[in-house]
Amino acid sequence: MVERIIEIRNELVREGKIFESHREAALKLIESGRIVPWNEKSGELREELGLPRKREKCAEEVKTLLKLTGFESLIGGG
Amino acid sequence: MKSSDSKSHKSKSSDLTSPTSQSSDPEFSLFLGCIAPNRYPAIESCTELVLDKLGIGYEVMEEASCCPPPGIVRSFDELTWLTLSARNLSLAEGREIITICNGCFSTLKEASVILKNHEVRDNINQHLKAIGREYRGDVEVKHLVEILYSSLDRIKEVMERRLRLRVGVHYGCHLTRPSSILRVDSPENPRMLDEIVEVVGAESVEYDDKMLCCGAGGGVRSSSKELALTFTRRKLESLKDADVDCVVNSCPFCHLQLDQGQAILRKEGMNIEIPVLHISQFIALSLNYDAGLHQNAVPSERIVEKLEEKL
Repeated sequence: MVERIIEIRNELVREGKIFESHREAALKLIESGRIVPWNEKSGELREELGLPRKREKCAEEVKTLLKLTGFESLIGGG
Repeated sequence: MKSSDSKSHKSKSSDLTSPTSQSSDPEFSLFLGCIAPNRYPAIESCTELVLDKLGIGYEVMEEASCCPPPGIVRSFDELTWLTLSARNLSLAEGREIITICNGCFSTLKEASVILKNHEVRDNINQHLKAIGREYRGDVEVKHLVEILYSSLDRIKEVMERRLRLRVGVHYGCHLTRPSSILRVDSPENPRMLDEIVEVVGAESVEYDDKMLCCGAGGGVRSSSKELALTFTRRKLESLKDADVDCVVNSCPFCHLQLDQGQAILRKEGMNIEIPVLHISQFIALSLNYDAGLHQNAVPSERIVEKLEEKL
């Protein structure tokens, strides 16, 4: 059942049917490698706890992969 | 070795710490996901603290990306979901991965099973080749809850205070489902989280809608906040009816929805005020650390005071 729902949703996205908020989330992934990206507030909270301000070392590789899989053009982030 | 920019200090009660011990030959790779490091970093700190205290060697997967989640990315394009998952799995270099999030767990574990198929893996590796990586199909994935559950005796040894609290545990959807692949616990009547909170002295309270979704998953929170909040409200009302002191979860996304959901409901005149703790924070409290609860939207002074009263 779940597999079929995923197939249907994949088909709908290929037809351009996607919630705008979902498209925005996908664009964040394309841009930063993360659906929930780091921001200044994250940095402040992390520093307060003695953690490194930022742990983000994936964006370039993710961008390359999202081009190769066609995700970037699918979502319209190219 | 873990990143050298991680501070190494520790203290009790007054502030939370970052990890103190690093293993030169770690058994596990720690996958942090997105929400914990970027919205609730106390979950990250507490996880590292707890693993250190239990003597479990790990290395943080510094180069990991978003898992990516089943509801948002897998639903859009399965190939992309599997490719990014394979990249993350390849970073573990053959070590077992520990996840601290149900969504990350479900994604990485399901992907690891799919990628045991040579043909599928070869196809995905064609993409990974472009970034100089390869996934060999040899990584196992565990949730922190499984690690804690297999360490109950050790937790009893290292705990410094009993948490005499009434706790409602929230399993979420992706810790146990799909059960045929994840094989963690019963999908209908799981017990692992209950037993973990009980080992540090809490009472796990049964409540209506215990297995109800928090409302956030499946892309619902981002596309339909009101619908998501309908689930959250019902869940929180059931917890309130059960007179719990706090709710303990195993997923930063559920954590966010249950915590920030209460902030939204407060603006609508509904004051529930049930502190929300990730299981790592709950165990950190039993180790006598404050667990960074002040960074939550819901104040947690009530449970801290209650713990102090019962010392």
